[in-house]
Amino acid sequence: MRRRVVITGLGTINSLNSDLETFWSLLCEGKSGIGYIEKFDTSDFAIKFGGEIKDFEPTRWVDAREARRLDPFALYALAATQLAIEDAGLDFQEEDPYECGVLIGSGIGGLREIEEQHTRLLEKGPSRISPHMIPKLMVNAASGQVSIRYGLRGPCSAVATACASASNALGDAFKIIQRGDADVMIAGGTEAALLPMGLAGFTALRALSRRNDAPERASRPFDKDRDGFVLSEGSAVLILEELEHAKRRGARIYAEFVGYGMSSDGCHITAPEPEGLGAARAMASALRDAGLEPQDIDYINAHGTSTPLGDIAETKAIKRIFGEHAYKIPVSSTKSQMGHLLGASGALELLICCLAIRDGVIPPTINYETPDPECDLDYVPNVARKQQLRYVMSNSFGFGGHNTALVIARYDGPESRCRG
Amino acid sequence: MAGLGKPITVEERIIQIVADILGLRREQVGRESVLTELGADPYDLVEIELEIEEYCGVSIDARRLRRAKKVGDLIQLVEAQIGPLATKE
Repeated sequence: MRRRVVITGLGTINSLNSDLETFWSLLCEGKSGIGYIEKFDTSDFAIKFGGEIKDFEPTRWVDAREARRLDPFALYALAATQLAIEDAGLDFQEEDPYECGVLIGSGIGGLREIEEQHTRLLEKGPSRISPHMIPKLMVNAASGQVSIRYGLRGPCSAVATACASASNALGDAFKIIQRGDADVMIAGGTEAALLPMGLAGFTALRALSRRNDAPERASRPFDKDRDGFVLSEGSAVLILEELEHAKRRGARIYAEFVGYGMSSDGCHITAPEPEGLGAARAMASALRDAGLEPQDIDYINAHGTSTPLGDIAETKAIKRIFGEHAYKIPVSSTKSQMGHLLGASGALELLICCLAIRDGVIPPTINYETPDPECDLDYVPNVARKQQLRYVMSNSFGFGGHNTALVIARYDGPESRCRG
Repeated sequence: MAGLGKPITVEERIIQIVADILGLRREQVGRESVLTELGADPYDLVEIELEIEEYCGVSIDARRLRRAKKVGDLIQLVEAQIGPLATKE
């Protein structure tokens, strides 16, 4: 019998609100975390808005010396981790450090450090590059820094699968506990690419919404007038724990982690496979891993980035796997409120799924005004919906053709789910 | 810019650099402070060297820098080259 894995702690730093319960209330009320960019001058940029974290004080989370040695993407991860650990009531002094690990993904890593040091290189020459540059910018800096802070000695790694990074990190962490390589995993994603270089790069890809006159209405997944995603930053971290370990310490259990599937399109480095075949295989694989049938799923938190092609491909993929049942499943994209946190988005969305299960509330897809004939599912438009949820799926797809689906379940007690 | 108000001394500038890099308050750092006791590791010393070059307009021989034990040693190294006043605010 496979070991069971539960989610016992949630933490996030994001543009809407970093207090978990406030965040959840605002999300369900349909509030947007998107606004005009304030951290740098956007005069020369075609796009002037994003999901920017406005009130983050590094020294609230680490001392001033440490703050100089960390890129914002790692700082966000350390902060979200601290919140998740506090939420879980975990004390690592009481834990066997060899049974605790970290797996935090990021699509890009320390982009601000790259920008700053590259400017220094050009203006002042190679001898002026900071000795902290490499350890600050590397994608695994977030995982490494978290393991150092808490003295954890178990599995520690980082995933970089673009916008699927956090979901792969969570799925891999789930498997690490399931197969017995750790009892506790700190897992999630982090991103801080809402910077001149990041904004310019995604603008050049023609991936972003250009709705400068109405930033809060720019992210509109599945709506006919969608014109691209909204670039956001932040982090979300979840505490994954082996069930018996969680029960022994009397932990509150948000949900049980039951399925992980992934696939690749093998098709194009940025465009989704138009029929959603790869995405469909990831969903099928997650269902198989969970031992579930398509009709068991009560809610899908979609990848739904608000790009013209991506939302159609995901809709097709869902219909391919769920058949007629696809029309009965609520499918919402919380990127409508949050924008796209790239390599952190999958973790924020699984965190949202945990709260949806806990409260029996499905967060809406906001800014949904005009139906698109090619996106014809129930997208929970604009208003949250009360509905008891048993099994929930979260999708994430990334540049490179990475497709990931996660399935979590309501935890009703030790006998609620007997699996072979 | 130097010239606006009182010129800043090398001592003031280097104490400020050391405090900033080590995340300390200025009053926690003095001429007699031992760098390693303030928490400086080899990377911090490289950063301090880079900042001194930036703000005092001098380059210090890395071997001499590594021999510096106290903040006062750094101040002496710079003063020996440019005198007691820092060149940049």
